[in-house]
Amino acid sequence: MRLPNWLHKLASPPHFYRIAGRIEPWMLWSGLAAIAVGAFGGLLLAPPDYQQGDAYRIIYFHVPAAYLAMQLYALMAIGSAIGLVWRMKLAYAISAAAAPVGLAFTGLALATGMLWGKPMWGAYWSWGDARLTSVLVMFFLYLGYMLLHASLEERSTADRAAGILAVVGVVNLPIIKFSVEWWSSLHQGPTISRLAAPAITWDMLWPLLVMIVGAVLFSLAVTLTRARAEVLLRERGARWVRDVVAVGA
Amino acid sequence: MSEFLAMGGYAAFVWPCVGLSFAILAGLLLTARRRLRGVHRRIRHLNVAPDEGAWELRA
Amino acid sequence: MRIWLIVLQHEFLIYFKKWIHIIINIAFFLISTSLFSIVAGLEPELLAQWGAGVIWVVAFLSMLLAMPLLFQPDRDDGTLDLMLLSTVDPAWLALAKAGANWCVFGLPLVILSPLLAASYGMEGMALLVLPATLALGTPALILLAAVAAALTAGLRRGVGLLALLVLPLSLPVLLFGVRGTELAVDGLPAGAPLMMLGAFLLVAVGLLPWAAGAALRATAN
Repeated sequence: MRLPNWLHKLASPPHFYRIAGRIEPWMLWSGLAAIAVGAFGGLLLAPPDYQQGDAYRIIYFHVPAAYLAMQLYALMAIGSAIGLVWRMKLAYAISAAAAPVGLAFTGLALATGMLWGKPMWGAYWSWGDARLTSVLVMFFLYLGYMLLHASLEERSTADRAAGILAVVGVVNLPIIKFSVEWWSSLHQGPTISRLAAPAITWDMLWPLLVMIVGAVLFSLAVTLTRARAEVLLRERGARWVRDVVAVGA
Repeated sequence: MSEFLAMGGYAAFVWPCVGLSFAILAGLLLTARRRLRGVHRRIRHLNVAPDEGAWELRA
Repeated sequence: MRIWLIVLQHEFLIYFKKWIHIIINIAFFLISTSLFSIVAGLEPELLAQWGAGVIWVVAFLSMLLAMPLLFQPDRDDGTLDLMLLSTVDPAWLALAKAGANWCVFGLPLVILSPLLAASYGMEGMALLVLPATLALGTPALILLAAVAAALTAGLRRGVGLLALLVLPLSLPVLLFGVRGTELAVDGLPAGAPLMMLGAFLLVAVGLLPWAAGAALRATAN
């Protein structure tokens, strides 16, 4: 199987470096603007929830973070798979760039989830909850990817080895989620059920959507910046890199 | 205003959330920028033979 | 297939020369599990409830301790590079090596587990179900650990990283193994988790040697 030609052209590092540098500021600033609007709308304009009061406003931070935690893992795994199959350095660079961003958002999702869980469930953590547990496992997978990548000296070896880990992890994640669900369905003791999701109204929903869009744009911008650095590192001997570096950032 | 800050009694949970989120956004942005600048500097000081490890298009 | 058998035989020979590692593995298992029950000092019924989790986790950890032996010596003396240069599919190589590793480091734990289970106050079916879950679960874990061992084979002191890579991925097997045993302790049928463990094992045998082979190729010099 071959990759389409346009993808090859886009995947040429100098081209990627230039294009990414050009779209990154747009994504960053529109993302930050959307986050500001979403936060304003979520914290001030949206009405309090009839069951959860104002505590539900954590949703405007928790859900985008959790969404990005998953999406960035998918990006990392797909990048690694493409890199492994077609030996494309750019795909590896994007994987390596997405990992720290994904780790940060996974950590944020866990922290905000705990802060939400305390007033709603009465506990910061519930081991029986499949979502919490699988996000925690995802956190460790990100960490493992980054540590493995950092401990292998040769970059191409590190790319391939960490890539295999990312792919094994992505196959395993649904199995983990299913296992914890099954386990907790049989687990005796205090079962904490999530509050039934109330039918969310439009004035509550729009800040969330704006927030998600903003967070996606922001994280893509950061990932692109990191990917540009990774591409330079992988290409450091090439003439175009020397030209780019000589000019200055 | 104080009513807004009180968050209906959930201030202790909502505001740390907000603060942490923005702290992480700022941290991500700063570390990414610093990494790109650092890589630039590192390569500039690195004397490497031209075109060693040049990009190859592979099918 | 013949080469596969030769690799297997070669592995066994090497492991029996390093019999001290086998003893260390078993001793670690016995000491850690007894240490836990002494320190915890739980009521007998609670001990039986906790036993499944403790025995499972400690069994897994003691197998992990031995995992660097899987590829590291062969990588260090160059045997692995020669094997990878040969016509043997690295996936078969990984399967053979993981199989031998399980026979030497996993099987003794399975055989010893009823003894420990009894000391933890389990009785009846649980004494059979625990070794059964271990017999189905530990080979899957060894295969998972083989992938991580192949990824970290080039590293000095890679065992910590190896554990960090394997532990989150091993969660499903541990959950079903422990839960199956707990059901048996409570006198309930444990068929479903055993079947799930069997399914995991099949998937693991089908997919993970391939990943471990790819990892061996990736980290070869």
